[in-house]
Amino acid sequence: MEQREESGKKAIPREYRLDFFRGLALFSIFLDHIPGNVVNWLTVRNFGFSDASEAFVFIAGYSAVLAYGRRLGEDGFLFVTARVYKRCWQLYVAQLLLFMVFTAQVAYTAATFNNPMYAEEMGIVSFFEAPHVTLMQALLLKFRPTNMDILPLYIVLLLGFPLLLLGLKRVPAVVVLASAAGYAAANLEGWNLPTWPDGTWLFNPLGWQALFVAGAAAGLAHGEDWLSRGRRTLLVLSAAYLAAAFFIVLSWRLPALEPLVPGIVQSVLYPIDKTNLSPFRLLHFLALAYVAVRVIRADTVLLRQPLVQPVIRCGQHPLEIFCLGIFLSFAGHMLLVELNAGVVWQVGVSLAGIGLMIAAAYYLTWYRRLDRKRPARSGREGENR
Amino acid sequence: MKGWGIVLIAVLLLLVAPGRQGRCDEPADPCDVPEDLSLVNFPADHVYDRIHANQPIRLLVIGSTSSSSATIWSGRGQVSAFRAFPRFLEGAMAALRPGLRTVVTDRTAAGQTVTMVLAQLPSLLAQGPFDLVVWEAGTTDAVRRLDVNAFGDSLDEGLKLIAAKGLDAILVDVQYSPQTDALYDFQPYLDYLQEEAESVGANLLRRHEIMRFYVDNGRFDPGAPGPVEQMKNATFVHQCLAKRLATMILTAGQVQ
Repeated sequence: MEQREESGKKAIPREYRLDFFRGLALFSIFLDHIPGNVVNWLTVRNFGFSDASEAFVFIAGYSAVLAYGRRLGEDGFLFVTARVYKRCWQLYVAQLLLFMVFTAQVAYTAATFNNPMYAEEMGIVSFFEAPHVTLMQALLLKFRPTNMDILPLYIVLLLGFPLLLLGLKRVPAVVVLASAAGYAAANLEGWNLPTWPDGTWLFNPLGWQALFVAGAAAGLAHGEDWLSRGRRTLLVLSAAYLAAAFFIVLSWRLPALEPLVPGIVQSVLYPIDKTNLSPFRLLHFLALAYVAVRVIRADTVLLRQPLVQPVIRCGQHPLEIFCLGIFLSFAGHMLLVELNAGVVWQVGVSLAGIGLMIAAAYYLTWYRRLDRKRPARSGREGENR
Repeated sequence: MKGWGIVLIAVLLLLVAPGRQGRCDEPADPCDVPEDLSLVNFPADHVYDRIHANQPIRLLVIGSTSSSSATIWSGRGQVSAFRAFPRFLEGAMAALRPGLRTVVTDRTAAGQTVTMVLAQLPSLLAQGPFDLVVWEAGTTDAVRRLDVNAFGDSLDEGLKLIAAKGLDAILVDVQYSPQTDALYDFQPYLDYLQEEAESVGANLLRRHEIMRFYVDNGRFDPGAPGPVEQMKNATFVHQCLAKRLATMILTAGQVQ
């Protein structure tokens, strides 16, 4: 889903920050999915309550509005819905592809790793006991192996997106109220969707929609300077919250710091729930995003540096690079396990993975340009791929 | 000059002696872990009372066993069963404090979620009297990807039930191997266990981190191919875990 440069009435400069931060989020998701990798100490989750998932979902909402918002007026609701649902189908196919990769990994591990010490861990793998049921449940997106939870969330959010877009344009107050009610139902009542064979969605759509809706609302105000008015207090408060969160996260790693975190804070704070998007996580992301957009201006020269271009490129092809990243994290982790690998290999695998993601992004850009250069095919100009 | 020579030699010997002696007295124990993996944060009053009354310590081990009674060919056509740490616990306690008797009641079983354990907890506790409950938690819930909040709620309820009976509790988190860590995301459950132990005042044996330390330091290789090697590893790891747990119990009972 990519924003297009506005060519019409008012020219708003292309927002490269979106691509940049999404690129960073994609790298983080790849790194975070390789457990025991020293490089993933660099990712945002080690510095605060939120992680790359928040950035991914917020930017998804924002860029969905950029991609489809103007079309609603030009092409009508039905057409926009058809476009969005085509995107949902692509996401669904991507999810199934990743499921297949994961299944291959499980099959391989199950066949080669028959250590009696881990009989319990390996014994409950229900994959191969009833493959017919497992596959059906995977097709229904109800069977969800580890690390494969975010695309189903994205699909559900996009399925509701046409209505959300219409609502935000016509009756924004109703949308905000409904979104808040859903968020409250998830966090206070624990409403969630079921998964198979038991359990619930790791990313509860009712909780996470709040961030998607916030992203969409921000996308609707794209180009207006409602954020850039000098709100020093908000900036200071955000920075203070980020610093406090960083200190608390640090106290998890350094037990010496733990006594410095007051008991009352601990009892209010924990658990910092990811499933329902705990308010502490939501707030952390919003503070982080606010500080980021205030510090890194849209016209900053930083984003024109050659070194950040690869990150921006990756951010411009979110679905493809996300899938590649998940695939590479499976492959990279298996490689590290097989090699019984130390730090040098961990760094090597991380860099190689990011290198491949960048190479793929440049390839996709090159291909897209080539595709567009072909003689006039009206109205097909870049929306999805 | 001769006198100076003797003094010099004596000083050198003195300088060298403590180092050598230290090395002889403390042969590197392969079960050792860094200090932050052997923290004991809370006292175990019941255990303390029993030790000072010269009474045997009665342990109840509940939760999901690491490996029920998985059997394996030991090489020469014999089948031997892998023994998980509760089976080594009585010996480990006696080794650390000779003369102290420990009676372990092992009620762990495969596939036990914390919610299942919670349902059985009153009847398990009624089989007592016990002084200390060791609860292995997290594995089944993580593998089945059960809701981490429901996991936390059940754990909290269970620990409060144990505390209401006036018993001490120790939590044991999940096993580690790079292979299983690739298939499951244990981290949220590990975080919850740590936080819950902290909030109810129970000690936590950080098995996951301890085993990761062993793997990272080459003390065992979870991916070892042969069954003989695997059995040797499994026994090594679980004997070490029993030793670490025994150390924790005795430290919490303020006698170690």
